[in-house]
Amino acid sequence: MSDLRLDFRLLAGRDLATGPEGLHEHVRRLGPLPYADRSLIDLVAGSGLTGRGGADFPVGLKWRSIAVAPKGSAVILVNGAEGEPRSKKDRLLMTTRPHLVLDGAFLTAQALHAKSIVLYIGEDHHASRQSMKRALAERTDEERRLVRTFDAPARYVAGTSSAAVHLVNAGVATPTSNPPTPHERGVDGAPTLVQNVETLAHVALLARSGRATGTRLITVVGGVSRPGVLEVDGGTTIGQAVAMAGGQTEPSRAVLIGGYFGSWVEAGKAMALSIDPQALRAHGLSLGCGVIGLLPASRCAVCEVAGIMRYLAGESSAQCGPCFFGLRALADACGRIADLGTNSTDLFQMQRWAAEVRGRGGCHHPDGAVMFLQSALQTFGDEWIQHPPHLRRSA
Amino acid sequence: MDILLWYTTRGAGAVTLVLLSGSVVLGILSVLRVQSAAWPRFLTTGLHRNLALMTLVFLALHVVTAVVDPFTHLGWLTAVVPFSSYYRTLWLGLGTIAFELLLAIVATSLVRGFIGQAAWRWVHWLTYAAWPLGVVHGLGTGTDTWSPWFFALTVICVGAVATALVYRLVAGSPDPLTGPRAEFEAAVQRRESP
Amino acid sequence: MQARDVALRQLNRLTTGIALAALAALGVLSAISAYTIPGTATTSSTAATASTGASSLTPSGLQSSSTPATSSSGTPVAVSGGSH
Repeated sequence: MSDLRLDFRLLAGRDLATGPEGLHEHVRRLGPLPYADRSLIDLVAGSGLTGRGGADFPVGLKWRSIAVAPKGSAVILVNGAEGEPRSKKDRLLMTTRPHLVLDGAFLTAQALHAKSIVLYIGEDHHASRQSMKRALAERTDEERRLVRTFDAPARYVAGTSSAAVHLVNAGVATPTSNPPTPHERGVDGAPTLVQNVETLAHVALLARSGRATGTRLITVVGGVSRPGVLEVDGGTTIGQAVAMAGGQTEPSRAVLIGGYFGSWVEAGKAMALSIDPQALRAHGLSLGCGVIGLLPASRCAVCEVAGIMRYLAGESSAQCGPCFFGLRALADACGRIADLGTNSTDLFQMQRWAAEVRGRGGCHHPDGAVMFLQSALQTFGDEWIQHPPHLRRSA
Repeated sequence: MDILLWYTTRGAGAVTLVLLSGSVVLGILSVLRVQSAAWPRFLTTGLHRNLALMTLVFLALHVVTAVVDPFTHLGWLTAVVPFSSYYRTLWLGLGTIAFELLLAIVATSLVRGFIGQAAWRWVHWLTYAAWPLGVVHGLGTGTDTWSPWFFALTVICVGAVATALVYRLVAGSPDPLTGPRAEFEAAVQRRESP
Repeated sequence: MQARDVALRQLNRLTTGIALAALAALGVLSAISAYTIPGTATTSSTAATASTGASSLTPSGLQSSSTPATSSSGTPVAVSGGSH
């Protein structure tokens, strides 16, 4: 089953700038869609493939929990919302390799005897939506009949599994607190498998080659010459990825690993880190959805953090008091320090409130924001204590 | 000595009634988001929680002293099986039910994270059954029903809860999150793709 | 949120205060209940009196007034007023 001649990488094939790869070319390059049955579940489990949506959860495990559901009851939700603003990998995949994603979705549906597929694509991601729509038109009637497409609202939490399910069921993309989890009762009350588009693309390759690609997509942003999406092998370091992205435009103060719910790490230490979720976890870090942001030394860390906190506070779904009011208070305190300079009251209270807000929301949003802030307080200690009032945040 | 147990049962029962009523009132006020500059909302919910726990403590004392008292001939079974006592079967049984409802309410509140918001709310609403059952039990078991002190206490407790309830029905529940939540929901409405 | 910190301390103070008041009330109300309806041995079932009377050697201080005040309610009252 494995064919060493083919380049089993997600972004292999035609130049990414030339637009979506059509079905004909896709099949010519990779071969036809393999037949999938329950054995695909074992293949996936054995490959060690983990989710690319941010949680890095073993895909095989997820599939097995859905596989116990009655035949013909499951729903596959293809998560292409990409709510993380600086992440571009899911959009890129849908725009340039839509058939990889669709293959993955149909293979999964077949293996798990799903009754339908929901495509959840960011409402502002017009190119992606167009590309996926065109790609769907190229598929068989039988495949098309399974699929419903929904726009994911362009809000940070709308990309959460529970929000996606809630949008389909109730018309509003608000995250819900577990239980029941989507895999117990999701879309229309059916056991629902929510899977990131990149994960499904990996499934499409895995089913053909018999093994995992070992690669992952990351988005490098900030102080690099060529910010954008990279496909990296396991074990690639952040320093190597930065080099692939054209190198730093200027020396960096720190690196944000994992996007807005990630952690700040000193630049020197960060460059040596492996872009591997497991390795990062050993350091108490999380790769999340793969956004790696370099903060140039010339930019003010406090102001950057204040801006991101302001954004995250505004993205609260306002369902829980501690999240809505807590994040707002934290963002206000950050903002005051950023605009008016350090003051010990805000500094002290921020640390207290952060500890109090954590765990008191119905979903993960306040926790993610608080952990982001706490890592910022730790990494940029001096900047927080000595922030002068003259620096203004850029809009 | 045993007679002390009996007095304690009655005293603890009365204190339980007061604490429970106070807890219910605070629970109602919590929903109303009552607050002022000196009294933030979480004081109400915090006090509600602490009072509820205290209620359980005195309720436990009330039940234990009643059962342990050799002259009541109430076995431990009567504390958990309603209407299984020879004495004042109906009224005591109502008390047993109230006791168990309160246990369930407090227990679910402690594990709210595990059972989810919906299940928690459903059980919590049973407070509106538990409290009146407790009041009726207090009046029905008879020892102190017509004693001026207990009667007065009952009237005050019932009055307080009734007032809070009326206030709630009249004032509605102003939730400072209503606006932002509606704004957010409007922003994340579904639009099915063509 | 700033008010929370002050209020948190207040919450603890109030809780402690109420707890102490509840304990005090327990004592007071138990005493009042003793005063208004003191216990007696007479109206309880025969089994009860039989079980307590035999083993006791010391007179109970509370046993001084043996008037059956409880019988005023007319119905059997669970009384723990045994001599011990």
